[in-house]
Amino acid sequence: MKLADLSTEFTIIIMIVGCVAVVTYIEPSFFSYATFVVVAFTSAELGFIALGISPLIATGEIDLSAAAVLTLTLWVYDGFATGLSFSLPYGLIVPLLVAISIGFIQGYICLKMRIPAFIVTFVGMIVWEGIEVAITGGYNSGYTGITTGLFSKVLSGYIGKVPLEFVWFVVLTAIFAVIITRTPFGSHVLAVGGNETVARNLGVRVDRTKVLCFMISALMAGVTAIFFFNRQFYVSSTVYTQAPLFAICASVVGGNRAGHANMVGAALASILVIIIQEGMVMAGVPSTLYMAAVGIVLVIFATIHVKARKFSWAMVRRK
Amino acid sequence: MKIRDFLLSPEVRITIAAVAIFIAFGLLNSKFFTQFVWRGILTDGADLSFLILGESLVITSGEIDLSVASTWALTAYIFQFFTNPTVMGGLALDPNLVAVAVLCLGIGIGAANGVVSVKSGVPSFLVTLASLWIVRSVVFIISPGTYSYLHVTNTVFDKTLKGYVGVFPYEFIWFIVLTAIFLFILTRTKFGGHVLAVGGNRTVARNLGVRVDRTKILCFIICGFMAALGGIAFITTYGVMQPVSGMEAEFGAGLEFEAIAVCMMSGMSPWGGRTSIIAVFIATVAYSSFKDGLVLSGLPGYWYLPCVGIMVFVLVGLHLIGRRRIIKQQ
Repeated sequence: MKLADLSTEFTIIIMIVGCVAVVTYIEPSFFSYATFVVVAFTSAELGFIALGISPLIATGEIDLSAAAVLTLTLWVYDGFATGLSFSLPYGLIVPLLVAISIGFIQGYICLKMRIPAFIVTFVGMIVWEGIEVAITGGYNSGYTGITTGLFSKVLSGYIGKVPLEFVWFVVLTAIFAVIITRTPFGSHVLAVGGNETVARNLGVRVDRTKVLCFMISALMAGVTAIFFFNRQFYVSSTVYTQAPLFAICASVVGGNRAGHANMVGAALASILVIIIQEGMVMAGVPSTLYMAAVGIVLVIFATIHVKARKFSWAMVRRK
Repeated sequence: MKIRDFLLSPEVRITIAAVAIFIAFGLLNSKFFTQFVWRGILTDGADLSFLILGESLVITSGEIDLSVASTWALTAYIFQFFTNPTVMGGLALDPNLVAVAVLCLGIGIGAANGVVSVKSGVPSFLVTLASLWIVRSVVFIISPGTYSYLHVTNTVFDKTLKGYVGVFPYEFIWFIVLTAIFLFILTRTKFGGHVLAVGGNRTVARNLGVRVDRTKILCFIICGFMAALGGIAFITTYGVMQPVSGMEAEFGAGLEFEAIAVCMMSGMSPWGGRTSIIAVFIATVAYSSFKDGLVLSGLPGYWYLPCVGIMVFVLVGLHLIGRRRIIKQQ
């Protein structure tokens, strides 16, 4: 591995350090354990979604429905745990199956009917979130069972002083990185994203690979919902409404694009996005402005990635 | 052109869908076919139409613009601010001059989107996503968390936007005129031909001597201009807006997606190169009548989003089937 291959990760780490330094200079209390815990939890949850979307972006597709899948899964999970009194670990099976089937439906429609992923997942976003809101009437609900069980602790407790959710985030990043770089499926993803026709001629089952990526994306949104529920124990239809766009942003900043995947980059970029957000809040800047900051980072990084290597993207390439 | 081809054109498909929507909601609620309701429907359609027409041009050129709703909110607020001496820091400038400046601002945002996206090679989805956030943040910085009322009356816009001719609001007549202009641009001018060529096949267009980058940037500029015009039209017609509520500058958020959804409903190619402005026009009316019809039908508000989503999806599917038929025939 050449040093240049790691340039994305290095740049993001330098930016993280820079952001932390600047905010600490303005507001010394930023550099504390409390901030670390907040950043660890929120960046892990954004990171799960970003990791899920990254293989999909590497195949040249896109998924806007993460937040809707997340709220729908959250609600189904709450239904099983609170309504049907399932224990928390057993109750997660059906919600995750729901998430995977949503991913399958979206991928199938996108690939069999040749409708752009952008449209399918956008309409999906409206429909899934709409169903959740329509059935619940938009009310929040909370878990009434035991909130200190072993399962919840394993998901969102602490090991020593480190939040376990962050450990899970590191583990999942490693798993995703191994899948993308070391397994046949990973090479199929990159091949499909790089050149679909060549991949098909080489015997890669293009549609199956892409549908699997759609399912992974939805599954990771579901996994985020499970983590969120075991940490907060409530359901709301407004959880993470901005998540898909920031997750796409983190994924792209981390170096994912059609034909290229970088899971470590996506994970680091999620941390960067969250640090910019928390840092601006701590520095006394209105939180909405952090969208602008993230937007600028997004354009700069995307340009660097494009200029560094040749870029291709489903919306351009399909012509 | 054979009659069968004509029946399979996107205009006919969307017209059939629109008529189906009218009949369905007419049966659900007897008040649907009244002047009062249709004035509302056509006003709603005309409000969104500025964004839709601009967006349709950008999509035709093979790009996408997510920042239109932010531009729309920003320009509406700025137009209000600089013509209103009663708010703190507000000025009483000549509304016509302010309008020109605001339209220039829209052009500037569009040009920035276009130049950054085309020259850097970053997909316009990402660039305009960033500019969506950036422009929305600007709205957040400059606007208060209260309602903003338009102070001036008797501007050119006031006279041409407020009022009705029978069932048609003046704003809808703007929409008809703008549709005609866009139809003319896309089908009768050299620039329109270039846009279609660039959207259809960029390499071929370039080899034929079309200046691809310039054409795309011009599309973005027109889109920004239309968004600014839409902002002025909105604040003039309604006279009030709340740019920031709580800590969120959410005013108009999501309109960009509605505009894209209507473009897709009209049966244009999502990859660019194939667009029917007449279908866009009908799709706009169909969309707003569907929205208002849902409200009239008495369905709980929660079902609103899934119904709109399913309707858009069904129409996109119908267009795909129709399109495949045409390809098969050829």
